[in-house]
Amino acid sequence: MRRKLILFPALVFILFTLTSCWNYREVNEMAIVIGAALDKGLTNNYMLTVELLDVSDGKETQVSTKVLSIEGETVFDAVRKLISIGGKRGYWGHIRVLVISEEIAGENITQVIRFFRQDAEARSDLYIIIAKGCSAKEILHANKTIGRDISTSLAQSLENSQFLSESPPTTLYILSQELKSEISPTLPVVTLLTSEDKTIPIISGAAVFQKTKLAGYLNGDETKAMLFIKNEIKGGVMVTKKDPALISLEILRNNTKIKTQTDGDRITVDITVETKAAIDEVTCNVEFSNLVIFDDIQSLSEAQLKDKLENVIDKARNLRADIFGFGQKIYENDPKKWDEIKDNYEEEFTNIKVNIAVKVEIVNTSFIYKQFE
Amino acid sequence: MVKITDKEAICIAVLFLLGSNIVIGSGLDVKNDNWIAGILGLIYFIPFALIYARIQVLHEGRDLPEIAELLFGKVFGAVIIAIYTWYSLHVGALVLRNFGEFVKITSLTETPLIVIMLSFSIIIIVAARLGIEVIGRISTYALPVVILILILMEVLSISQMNFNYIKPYFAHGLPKIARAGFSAFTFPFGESVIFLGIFYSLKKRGSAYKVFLTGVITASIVLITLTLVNTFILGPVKDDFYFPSYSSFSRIQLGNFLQRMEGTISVSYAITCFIKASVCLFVTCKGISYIFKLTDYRFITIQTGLVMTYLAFILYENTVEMENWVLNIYDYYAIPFQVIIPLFIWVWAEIKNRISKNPKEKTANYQSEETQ
Repeated sequence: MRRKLILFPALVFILFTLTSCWNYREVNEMAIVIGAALDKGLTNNYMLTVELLDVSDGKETQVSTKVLSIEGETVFDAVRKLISIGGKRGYWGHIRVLVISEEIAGENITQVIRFFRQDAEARSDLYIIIAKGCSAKEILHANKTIGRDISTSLAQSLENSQFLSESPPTTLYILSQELKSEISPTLPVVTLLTSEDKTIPIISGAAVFQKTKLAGYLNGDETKAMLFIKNEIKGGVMVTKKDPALISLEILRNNTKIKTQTDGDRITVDITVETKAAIDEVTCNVEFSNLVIFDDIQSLSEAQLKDKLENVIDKARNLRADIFGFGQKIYENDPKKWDEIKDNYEEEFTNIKVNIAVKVEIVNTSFIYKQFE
Repeated sequence: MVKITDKEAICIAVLFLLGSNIVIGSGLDVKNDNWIAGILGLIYFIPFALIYARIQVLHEGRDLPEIAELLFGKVFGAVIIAIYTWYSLHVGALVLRNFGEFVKITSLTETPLIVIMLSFSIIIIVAARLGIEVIGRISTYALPVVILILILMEVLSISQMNFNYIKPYFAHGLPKIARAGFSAFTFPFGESVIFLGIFYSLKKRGSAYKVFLTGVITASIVLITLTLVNTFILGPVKDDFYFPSYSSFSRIQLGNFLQRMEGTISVSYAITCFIKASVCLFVTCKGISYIFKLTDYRFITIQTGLVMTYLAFILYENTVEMENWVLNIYDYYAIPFQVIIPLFIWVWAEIKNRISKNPKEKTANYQSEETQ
């Protein structure tokens, strides 16, 4: 009995003290950061622009977005200085996109992304985008198209890019993996499109990095060819010319294999692309119900895809950036050879012999067997 | 006298060996060849597992303090007891600290470390107070949970894996991998020397061999699988993280609904660290009570538990020191506890056994035990 008398107050005491709440933050006390942009600052090192979700309580909770900018000596410095203009402390757990200006990327991209990798609040699945032809700040200040805020539409656009395949959806962790292996990273590019009195952000193409420095850009079509080689194609449209018609093939599945052979000084890379596609559109009547013509379409699309792949490899060679990871493959298959060539790899990359074999298999013609005249 | 079955003992052994190793990963610097180092570590350890088991079998029903006193007499025996008591206190503190840092960095960032560790040590003290029987029974329930969570997470993360990251094999050269294998030997396998403090309570005679080998091999399968999974998911950035498996499981993303699952893995972290720290605390209390001739170790569990917590608190100033200790210093620190002194005890025990009064009867006894 006495034992129970002592135990009871003790249990009640524990019940109210061990709530595992050392400190707490209410939602309306936080400014939820959903997107950020980084430029070179005018008076200080960096200018940070954030898009915030502002939750105001009342009878009905209301959510609005705000865009704020501040300069700081480092990224984290600017992050904390936001308190001085916004009042609330930012919460970075929900950040979706980080837009980086050309100027910073041209110097060295790692100077700003390290913070997002190291901080415990920010998550490594945020998308990193390069702003081309405008400052990163302007992207977050652009007009909204659909949706509540710019950052979410940018992130969604990248999430759905697997049906378009014209930009590489690179998250922070993919970027850090590529920076640590023998691949030159590529990041998606956002530009501003001005129509009438509105400016709209549009994602297309890829920024090519020579390790950590921005070296050049690929347009949407070249990006698709690059994704073919990297085996990251999951969908998209492949347009084949068959004079005078244009034929749209929807990519259903793709499998690319890269094999490297080292024979003395010679390095050969064999790329085999196997694509399954469906005819979804013809601009004028093509009798694809005729098997001869059907086969013709297949071989035409194979040849045209092969051209595109060769084109993008040439372009990467001009930029001296191994965006396909050939170097990584050589390292994986023949680490000793890699040790020999790695110091001089930029030069070596332009001399590698590349064999491309493309196989396009058209598995169906969608809903229609014969089109009208 | 409390007794534990072989099954319970194996469960304790597996959870003990997983504890804190699945949290911070093994401290090796051979990147994608880590799994080879893990296998090597197991191979190095198997002879020592047999030695530890042999010491136990030679002294059926006695724990390490009793063995030490029996073999080396009062004074020198007390020195050995003190050394092992310190070691188990230290290992317990290391586990507590690792888990505390994990909780502080990933979730309770603004809660002081000592508060996290104190709350954790409350249940450890309770477990150690209730004794090895209770820890054994918890283990039999907890081990399936831990393994199931790990398997679930590993299966869910298959889509994030890039199997090419494992290539090239042996890129770091055999000498370096062999050295890294030694790291896997000292942490976690070699720490099973602490089991000599609990396996006195095994029900069946001569089952120490079975328990040691099954426990170590099961744990090593789990650990090597986890290392491989981490390599497949994280690849070149694996060694950048303090908590690699937490980081790799945070990549799980199935559609838009099944993602950010890394919180689940903390459950296995908590369970394994709890078992490991409780065993360490139990062995420490036993050792202290033996040195000071206390009638019951239970009188000192709370005090020792608090000492262990405070030791954990003052061990390092920061996480960089913790990582540095795990990577560079612990290997050498562990050699006397895991290799030299056990070898010494074993050799001495064999000699004493040979010259003991009734050799014929004894050898017959051992043969029948070994054939079991």
